[in-house]
Amino acid sequence: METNNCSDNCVRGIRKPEWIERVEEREIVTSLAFIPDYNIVRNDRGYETSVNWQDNDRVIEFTLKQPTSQHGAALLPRKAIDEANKLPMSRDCLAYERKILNGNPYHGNIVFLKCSRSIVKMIAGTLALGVIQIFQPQGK
Amino acid sequence: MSAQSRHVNQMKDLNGLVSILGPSRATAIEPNSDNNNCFTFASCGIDGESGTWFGPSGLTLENMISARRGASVVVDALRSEAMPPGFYVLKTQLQSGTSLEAQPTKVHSRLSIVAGVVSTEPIDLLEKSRRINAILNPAIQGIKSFSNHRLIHDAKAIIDKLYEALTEFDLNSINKLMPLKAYENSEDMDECILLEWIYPHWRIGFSIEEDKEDSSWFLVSDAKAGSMQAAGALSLADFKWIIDWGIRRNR
Repeated sequence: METNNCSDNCVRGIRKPEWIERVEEREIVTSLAFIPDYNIVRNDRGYETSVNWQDNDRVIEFTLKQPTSQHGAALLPRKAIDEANKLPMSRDCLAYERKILNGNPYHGNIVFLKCSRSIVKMIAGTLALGVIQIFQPQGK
Repeated sequence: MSAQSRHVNQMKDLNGLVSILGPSRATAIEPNSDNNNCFTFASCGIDGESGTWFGPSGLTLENMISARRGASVVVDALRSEAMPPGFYVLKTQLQSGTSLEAQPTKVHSRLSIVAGVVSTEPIDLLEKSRRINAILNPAIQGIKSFSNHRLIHDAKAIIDKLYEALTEFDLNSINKLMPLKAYENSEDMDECILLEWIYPHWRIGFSIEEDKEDSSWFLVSDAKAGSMQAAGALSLADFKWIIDWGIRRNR
């Protein structure tokens, strides 16, 4: 897994309206936003939550132009993933990688490893709490 | 003597009360510790009925899903908070499928008058029930638009349990909770309903899954709130404990 060339922050596209909620006058990402895609079967039997690594200032704009960011984008520090990975209940349940796609050199994944669906939901909640900024979709 | 006064006087007689309610009802009667001449009671019909409480001023406590729960709210309020003079009417209806949140459409006349209270203090019951409904209603309304009927059914059962657990807290504690939200995850391979209390530094979630074995609860907090994590099977959840954790985060 290509983990060494991941930037300090990653950006998660907010694809659905229910991935974001207004709480106490501010927008907060719901846990759903970080639940992995169970359709993709990996060799390591993990499940992927797709992100873009924030390599430069253009990544936010690039991400917001993607169809998977119709409702905005959430900025998550890599440190938040590392810290979640050290907590007793989610220790070593997470990994991350860069996985370049055609036309998207920033693309990567947060990978949920060897954990039950209940733990996945809990970790998704933990990651959602780690979001430090939400960017509005283009045109709003 | 007005019909209402006559009714209240009649209710002060326990034997009269039992004869009004009938032997088939589950009835809670508690003496008023401040006044030996007063007692309070709540009664509910058979399991599976839904009911709506009507206060003396005509206020309706909506989404009172079960009559038994209505009785427990009254009894709980009587234990912790004072109630006003007057009596209350619980209208019940037979539960019709999954439309628990529907307004009563068919009141069973035989079951119409089943609860009352005689006391001398101001009421807080209505406020408590209203507040609990305000917390749970966004989730109840939210799941109406979802597509998976089996998950909706299971989510309603969880909301039902949350209601019961919330009635065990006093009004000050209940007031610390924000509305519960419901979300549907309709992704292939991961259909679920997620009920979530979302705060900036912590959250509580209840995940209702296609495979009930996978249904779970979780609570998490960030570093500012102690970096806590917990999760467990939904079938074994201690809802009061989970809610209490959230209330304590908000102190």
